[in-house]
Amino acid sequence: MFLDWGSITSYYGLLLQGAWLTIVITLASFTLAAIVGVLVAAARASAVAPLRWLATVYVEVLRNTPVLLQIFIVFYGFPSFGIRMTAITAGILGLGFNVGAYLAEIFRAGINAVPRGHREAATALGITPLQSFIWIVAPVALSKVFPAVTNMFIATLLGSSLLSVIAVPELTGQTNEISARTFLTIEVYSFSTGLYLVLTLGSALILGMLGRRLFPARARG
Amino acid sequence: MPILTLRNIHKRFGSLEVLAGIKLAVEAGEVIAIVGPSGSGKSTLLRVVNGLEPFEQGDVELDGQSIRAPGNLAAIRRQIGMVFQQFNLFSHLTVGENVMLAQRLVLKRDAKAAEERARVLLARVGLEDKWNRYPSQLSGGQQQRVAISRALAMDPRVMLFDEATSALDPELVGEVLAVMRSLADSGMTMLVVTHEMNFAREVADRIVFMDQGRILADGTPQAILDAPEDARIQQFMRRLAER
Repeated sequence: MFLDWGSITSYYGLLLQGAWLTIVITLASFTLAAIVGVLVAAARASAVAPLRWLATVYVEVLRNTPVLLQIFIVFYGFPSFGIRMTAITAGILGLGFNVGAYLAEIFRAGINAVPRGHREAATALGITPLQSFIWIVAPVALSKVFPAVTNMFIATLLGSSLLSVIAVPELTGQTNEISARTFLTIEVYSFSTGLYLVLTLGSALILGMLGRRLFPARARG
Repeated sequence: MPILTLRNIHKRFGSLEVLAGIKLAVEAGEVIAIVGPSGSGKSTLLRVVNGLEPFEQGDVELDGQSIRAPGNLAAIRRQIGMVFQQFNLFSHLTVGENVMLAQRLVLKRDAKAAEERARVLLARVGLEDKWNRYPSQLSGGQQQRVAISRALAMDPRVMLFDEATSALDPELVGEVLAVMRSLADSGMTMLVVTHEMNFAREVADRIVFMDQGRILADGTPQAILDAPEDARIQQFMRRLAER
């Protein structure tokens, strides 16, 4: 089989642009997911029963239906309610809401793993429940589930390739485009796969260092 | 007037009556040891005092202020320090941060004032050199001394000790008792749930003996420990002596 690596050099720029958009989409949707995750996890731990039910329904529906369909609903469905947006925005929302459901469950596990004594000590010191959550429960919970959060980040990065289906020119979208134009299928897809590996392994490396810095072993209970 | 008054406290866990009408008046500067068999309601009583445990009937008053009156709970908690059996230090914070956090959040002290106070208190318990250590790097006795400093940093008027030495290795009990003793000597009002009878005898002004949610006896250490009238107290003392 003849591989023509030379011919794809002129497409490196486009592929790197795609990779850059993948990074931007991943960061944006993961930020949204983290916010959704904290709110939903808090709702699931709430004393208000309807809030708990709502949060449970959210988590179960989002985790048990295809993320691709969820993205379609945002992109094709929301405009019929008068909510118009670009494919990139729709993709970020769809992915963010989906990953948010998973993060909510991870955060919930983390919150449950915070020793009860931490909260009791805070209460006894006169610290309010909100202060206790911000200064004690959240950081301790995050330290317990940080590896799972890292995994979710990488899953989000890979999941962003789904946005190629709604014509977002991220890395996979660009790859499809170039492949269709040049028929250098193997070359282009191998190169992009390599780029994804660099992105995921790089993220794992950076998040791993961040985790060790933020949550050194001695600072864990 | 007593600084702390418990008025006829009743509390149940389901059908079990854990506190069956507890009445207690604590004078300022008094050290009261609460003793009795496990399951007698000692720890629950202590947790009722600062509102960690809800109760059905009765009232807790600090300086005549009811814990049940709206808005009073937070103020009362701020004035009552508590030390737990399991220390309950914040594992993600250093020793210094542990002692500073509530000062910053609750008393709104600035960083400098909170640090100053924390350093003074840690020096008093002999741990000023552990400022940057994490709880996991300390022995149980050291952790408990930090926990005492953390509670004292709030300038409490009453201190509660819930079996503060029960989770410690025997050789570490002494260092924590020494801190508690010096605190008692400094005039702090203290309620101490303990199994350390020597400590109770030497440090406490009064001993309260609890059994099945009731106060069976309340008097001087000599009266309760040396010449108990009640058969249940006699039995309890015999069991302790056999250990």
